[in-house]
Amino acid sequence: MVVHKKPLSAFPKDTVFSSPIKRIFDSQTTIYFQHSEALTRLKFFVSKYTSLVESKTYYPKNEAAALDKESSGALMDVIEILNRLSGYIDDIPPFEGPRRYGNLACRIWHDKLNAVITDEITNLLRRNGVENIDNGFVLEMTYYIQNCFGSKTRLDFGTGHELSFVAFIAALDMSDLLPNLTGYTIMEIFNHYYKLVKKLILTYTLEPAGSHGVWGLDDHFHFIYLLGASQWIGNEKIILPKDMLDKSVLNQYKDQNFYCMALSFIFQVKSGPFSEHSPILYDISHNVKHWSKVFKGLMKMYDEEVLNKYPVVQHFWFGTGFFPWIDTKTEKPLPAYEIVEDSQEELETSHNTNIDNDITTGMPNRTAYTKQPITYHTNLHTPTIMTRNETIPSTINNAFSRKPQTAPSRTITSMAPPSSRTFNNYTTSARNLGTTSNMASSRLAQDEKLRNVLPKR
Amino acid sequence: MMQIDRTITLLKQGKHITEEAVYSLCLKSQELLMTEANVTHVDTPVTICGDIHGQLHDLLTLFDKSGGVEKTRYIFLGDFVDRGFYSLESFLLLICYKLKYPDRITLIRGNHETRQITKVYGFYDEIMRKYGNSNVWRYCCEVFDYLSLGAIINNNIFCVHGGLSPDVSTIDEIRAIDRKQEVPHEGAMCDLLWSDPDDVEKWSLSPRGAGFVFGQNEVNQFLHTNNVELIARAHQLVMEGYKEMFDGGLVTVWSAPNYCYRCGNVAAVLRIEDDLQRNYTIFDAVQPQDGVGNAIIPTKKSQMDYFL
Repeated sequence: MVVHKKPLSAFPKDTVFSSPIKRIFDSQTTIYFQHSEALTRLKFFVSKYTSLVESKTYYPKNEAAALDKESSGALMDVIEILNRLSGYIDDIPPFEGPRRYGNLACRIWHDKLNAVITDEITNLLRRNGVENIDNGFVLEMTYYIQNCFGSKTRLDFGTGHELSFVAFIAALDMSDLLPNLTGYTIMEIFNHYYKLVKKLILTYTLEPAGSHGVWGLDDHFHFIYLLGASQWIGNEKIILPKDMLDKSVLNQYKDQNFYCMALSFIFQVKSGPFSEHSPILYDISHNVKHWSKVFKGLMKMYDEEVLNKYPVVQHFWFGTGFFPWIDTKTEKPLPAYEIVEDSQEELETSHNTNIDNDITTGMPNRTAYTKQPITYHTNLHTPTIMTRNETIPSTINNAFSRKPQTAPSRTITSMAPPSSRTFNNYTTSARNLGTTSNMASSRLAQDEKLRNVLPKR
Repeated sequence: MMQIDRTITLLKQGKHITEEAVYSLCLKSQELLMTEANVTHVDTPVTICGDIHGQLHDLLTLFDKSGGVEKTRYIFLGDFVDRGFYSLESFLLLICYKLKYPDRITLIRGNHETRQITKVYGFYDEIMRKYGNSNVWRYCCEVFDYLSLGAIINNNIFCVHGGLSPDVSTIDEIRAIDRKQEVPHEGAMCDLLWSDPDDVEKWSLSPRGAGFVFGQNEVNQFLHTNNVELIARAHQLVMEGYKEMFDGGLVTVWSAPNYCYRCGNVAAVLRIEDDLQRNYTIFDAVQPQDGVGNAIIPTKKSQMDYFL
């Protein structure tokens, strides 16, 4: 165990850091997440940062000079990294010519990000007095900044990526690398982050990740509204929620308040009546009287719609130091599944992109990771006036139960014994045995067929 | 018929339709759709339309620009609902036309016409907001189960929402599917609604998590086996409204302009003439009119539980 001079005094001595691993595969593992130490910590920092900015107005220009290296720790380093990443966008213009939607040049930007980010974080740590840098520590921290700019495969951006940036800041914070955090410094960091993300979205026409269309709070963001609503608390004499429907108010405050910042971005990218393309935000302005109510409601909504939604949190991975996959009450490891084979390989997917990123619906993904033995349950099917359900139960059952499959030539997974405290050495006994006996023979034949037609790995 | 005409008039104005009226429409269209085949035969001339996604005003423009249902035959390739503000009104308008002109309009199921997807992508939320309960959503979902899986024009053009399936080599195999169910997560019926074409050598995994990606080889083989010359499908946004691929053996048609109020794309419909000539009509999004829409559709229950 490497001894860290400075930041790791914040952690218990026996803390092990490691590269994050996917732990959330379905509705059941999303429930485990609700009991995790990782989620407890995420909620703690969401609450901490939104409290810090409460009733504060952001004046980017006036106070920027007041930041100094001595007291702000890694803050300036983070901002410099974000600025450099922003500069790469200028070097990588979007491709010309017909395209379906997301611009493929964005993949080049992601390659650049992936190429530099580990070194960037290593240097940041060095500059801030972390000696004898542990490789696991760097990898675990890097994961969260690497994944906060959208998906390279799907060319999209959503609240899960936004959450990943909160996690990155929290990881620095946990490591005592952001001393003297104030509302102002939080706003400074997040302003730079959102500026960069908006530039990515506009330059490469990134899709809303898993968009609910007009029926989501916002196409890309949620945390930004938490910051902004908290900022307005106590300012009811100047600005009420209903004033958010007034474009001149938005123009006046779009640089000082994150709520206004988010709304003016919507007006920048969307056309049509606000009440139609953003009905939830419209309802909030229309019906909620006080900012504290708006804030509380958005928090509850965040806990449910972001932190408790499988399509979002499936992409949040877990290391062993910052956001550990352990039960927050018992401190025992949560049940974990692990990819045993091909874990480092990128899924072979088409270069196509999809405006319907329905991959994030919670449609059980038969290709990316298969696992057993949990059966996929859903209550969505509501038998009503039709009687046919009784006549073909096997078909209906097939639609709603997730049968174990032999995935085409990759990814066999296994369940780890929950008793083990060692995070990365799960035993993988008896994996995938006996699954085929559950399958209908036609299914077997089909899988056999697929194995023949799918690309061999 | 009187009731259907009245409903059509209300829908065109974006006005509220009562729960009882929706129930009766859904029941009637179920009875009608039940009698149709999995793959419906359609004669030329016919106009093929892609995804609508609740963009009612743009759907009205579509009928306007392409002759209207009084004079023209239509095939809709699915994805009537989700994401847009007027999924219900768009879907109801289409089933009203179907009831009024059964031979003039064919409705094919898209991957969004399912309980599971509509629960996540907006249609369910829309119904809760407009009616305060989910009954209307349930009625519509029952109709979804009866929509066709495809259509064949003059034995020459195969129409489907998504694309091909490794489980389907002949159109007859599609006819053998028991379609009256929620869309499964895998298998032929799922793939027909979820797959995408791309420049790939062979069947490949889809980044969507359902269906497959197929290439020129699969398309050529399907065209040859079934003796057809074109696969017309929707399912993917195309900035230019349509995109022909594989030497004209496949076309993607997209009919939701400025998708989700932000994509800046144009929309297209494809008219197939008697000599099978293809004519594309391009159209733009309806100019925004403040005060139209949301204001006249009453909000029974906003999604505001978090803010109580």
